[in-house]
Amino acid sequence: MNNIFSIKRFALLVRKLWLENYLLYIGSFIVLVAFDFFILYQSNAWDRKYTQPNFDTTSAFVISLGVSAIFFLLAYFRTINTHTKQLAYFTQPTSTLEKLVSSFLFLVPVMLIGFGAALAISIPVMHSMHDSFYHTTTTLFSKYEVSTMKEAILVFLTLQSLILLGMHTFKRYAIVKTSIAIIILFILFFYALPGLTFNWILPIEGFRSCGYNTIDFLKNHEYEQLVYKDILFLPNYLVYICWFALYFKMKEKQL
Amino acid sequence: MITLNNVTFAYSKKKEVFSNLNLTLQPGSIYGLLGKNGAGKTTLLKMMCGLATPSSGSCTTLGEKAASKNPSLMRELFFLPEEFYMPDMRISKFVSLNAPFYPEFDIKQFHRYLSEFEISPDNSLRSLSYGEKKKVMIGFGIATNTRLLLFDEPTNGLDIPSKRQFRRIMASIANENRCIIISTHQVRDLESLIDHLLIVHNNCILLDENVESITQKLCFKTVQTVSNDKEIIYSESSLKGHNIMLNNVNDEDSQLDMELLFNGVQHCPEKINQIFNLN
Repeated sequence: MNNIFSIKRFALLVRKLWLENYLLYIGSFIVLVAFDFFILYQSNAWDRKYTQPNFDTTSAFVISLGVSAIFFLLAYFRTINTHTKQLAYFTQPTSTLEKLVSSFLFLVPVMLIGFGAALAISIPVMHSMHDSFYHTTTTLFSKYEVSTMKEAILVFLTLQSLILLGMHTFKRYAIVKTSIAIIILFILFFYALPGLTFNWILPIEGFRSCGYNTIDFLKNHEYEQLVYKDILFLPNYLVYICWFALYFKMKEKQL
Repeated sequence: MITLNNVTFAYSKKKEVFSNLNLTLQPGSIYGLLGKNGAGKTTLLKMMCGLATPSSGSCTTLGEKAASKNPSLMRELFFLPEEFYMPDMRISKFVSLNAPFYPEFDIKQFHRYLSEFEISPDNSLRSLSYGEKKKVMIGFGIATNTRLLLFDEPTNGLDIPSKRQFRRIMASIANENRCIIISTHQVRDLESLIDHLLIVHNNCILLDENVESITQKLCFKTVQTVSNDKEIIYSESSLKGHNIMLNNVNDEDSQLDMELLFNGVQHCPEKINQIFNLN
């Protein structure tokens, strides 16, 4: 018997998760549409004299992404966050990979589709324009926007995996502990490590190897630039580690 | 069917639940798992279905490492915890969502149990009381026809007729291929059902004997006065006089009084060890 992944079991699990939680997902979607109305109204250059509204889709995307992430994470936590639900979830005759992929399915593609749909509904309704749907779609997926959004999605995926990892690691006050852990990680990765590298390791290494002069290096680089330069590329690597770790955390889950 | 080999388990460094526990459970029996609050009954059940992993030693269920929680293992066991989750939907829908995971699930059997418990399959789970929900879960668990059934306090919340129905159903499904483990404090409810006793006490299994063997070695009586008979292991007063548990040196036939045995085991574990030749 295939204990790793079975399409049949996976389909049954997805069907079960959807039918048990669809009201929550639909409710979340409605809230998301309402939120998009608000964000678009606030973030866009809103002038009724213009025939073509100037959408700030990137801001709307990033902010709405954050909000939708919270909604869908809450939906997922509702499935697994209490002891009794965890018992039911982990005694389900499905493999860990099937559970993980089904979580991913509900947290990522469904969320993105939900977000896209919410945005597509919000904008035409709000502006009452015939071409706004086409305009939004083309703007949203233009080359520049896609590149920015890819980074935003990576940050989002990293956060999702970190939060899930926290939820499966901490037994009590999981949300609080996870939030603290993420803040610590953020400070560590984006402030402490670059700061440490910049102030201590780089000068020492430079001094030892005589590879460069720290003073010259400082003259040619902005401190801020160095610290924040790779901020959005970090999730590129972190995201794989997190989802991989999450698999083993779920596999070894103790209740 | 289930083998625990030198199992040590602790929730924290300060609280060790089991230490070098060895236990083998065979099919064809209804095991009664008894123990005081916090003795580790639920933990033991969780270990058997992979929800708790021993810190050392191994726990093998149906030939597989329990902690792996493989689908091939999980579809052959059903665990009903004391507190359980039921989604807000109709019973029929609940069954249609969960039954496909269990290849031997029998819907006719499930409906028969529901009718015995006087519950309609069209009811919404939200409208049911705790006891009724438990009946649905018991019916569902038995209808899965898994080889291993683990019930944690199944009679809690059941009314008096339902407890009788539960006993009757459990007796009807017991067979040579199946192993049923019931953890309970309500020994009176299940006295007639259990054919093998496991008593958990102080990080170990204090008694692991079948009922026949217990009644061969021990005798249970109610007397008016307690004499200084050295064969008496334990006694406690009751409305009818004194209930006594004594060495069955005369090969007398008596009915097992589980409550008395449990209390006796708690009070005089050394004597019980001596009688049953446990280490």
